[in-house]
Amino acid sequence: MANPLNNEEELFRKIREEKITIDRKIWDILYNRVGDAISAINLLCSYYLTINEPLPPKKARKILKHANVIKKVIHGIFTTKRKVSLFPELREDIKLHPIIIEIVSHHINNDTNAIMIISSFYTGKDFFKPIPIEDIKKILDRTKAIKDLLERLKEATGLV
Amino acid sequence: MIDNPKKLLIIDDEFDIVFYARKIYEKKGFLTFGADNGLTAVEIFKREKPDITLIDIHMPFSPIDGIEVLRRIKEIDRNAICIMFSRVTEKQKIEESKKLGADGYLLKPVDIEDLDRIIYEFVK
Repeated sequence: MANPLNNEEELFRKIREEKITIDRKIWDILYNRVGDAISAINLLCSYYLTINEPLPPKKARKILKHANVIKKVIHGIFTTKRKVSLFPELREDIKLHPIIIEIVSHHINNDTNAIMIISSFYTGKDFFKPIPIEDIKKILDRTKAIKDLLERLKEATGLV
Repeated sequence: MIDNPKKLLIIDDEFDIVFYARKIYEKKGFLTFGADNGLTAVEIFKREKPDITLIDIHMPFSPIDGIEVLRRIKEIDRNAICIMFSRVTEKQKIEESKKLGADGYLLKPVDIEDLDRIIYEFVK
C-alpha cells in the first residue's frame, strides 16, 4: 500500500471530530466507479492466484484499462473544469475539504500509479510476458489498500 | 547493449514505482538509477549526471520533498532536465516547480505512454 502520510492519524481524527464529510454525489462517483474498477482488477488477479498461474499480458491490459478509469475519476473530481464535463451530475461549485483531498489524492494516486507501472512493465512491447504470481500479489495488495481507504473514509465521514 | 545509453534517474518514495519504472526503461535501453528519498537522489545526481531526472513532488517518507530535490539539482546544474510527478491537486507546487526550472510535469497516476512521450521528447 501507499506510504501513509506523516500526519495521517491526525487527519482522520480531525475528520471524525470536526464531522468533515464528502458531498454525496462526489462520494457516489468515488466509491462506486473506483470501487467497480478495483473490484474488476481484484477479481482478475484473484482468479490467477487461485489457479496459481501467471496472469497473461492481454489480461494485464485489462488491468491497465481499469486503472485508467480510476485515474479519470480522480482527475475528474479534483479538477473543476473537467468535473462537469466528465460527471454532469456534479456542479462546479461542489467543494471537497482539503483534508479529504490530501488523503484521497495521496493514497489513490500512489496505489493506482503502482498498479499502472507494474502492469505496464509486462504489457509493453519491450517485455510482453505474463505477470508472475509475486507481482499479481503486489497488484492485489494495492487494490486492497484502495478498498480499505474507501471503507476507512466512509466510516470516518459517517457516509453509509 | 546500446553504446552510450541515456541515463535516467527516478526519484519516488514508493519502492514499487522506482523498481518497475527502472525495469521498464532498462528494457528500453536506458541506464537507470533510482532513489526512494531526496537526499540519496541528490547524491546520485551529483555522481551520475543523468540526462533526465524524474522527481515525485510529494514524498512524505523522504527528509526533503521533490521541490527541494529540484532546487538542489538545479543548483548543481541549471540545465539538468527534470520532469516532475505531481498530483492533480498540487497546482501550487506545480507552479513552484516551473519557477525553479522544471522542464515538464506529469499528473499521477502516471501512464507509461505519457511518460514515454515526455522522456523521448528530451532524448531525441
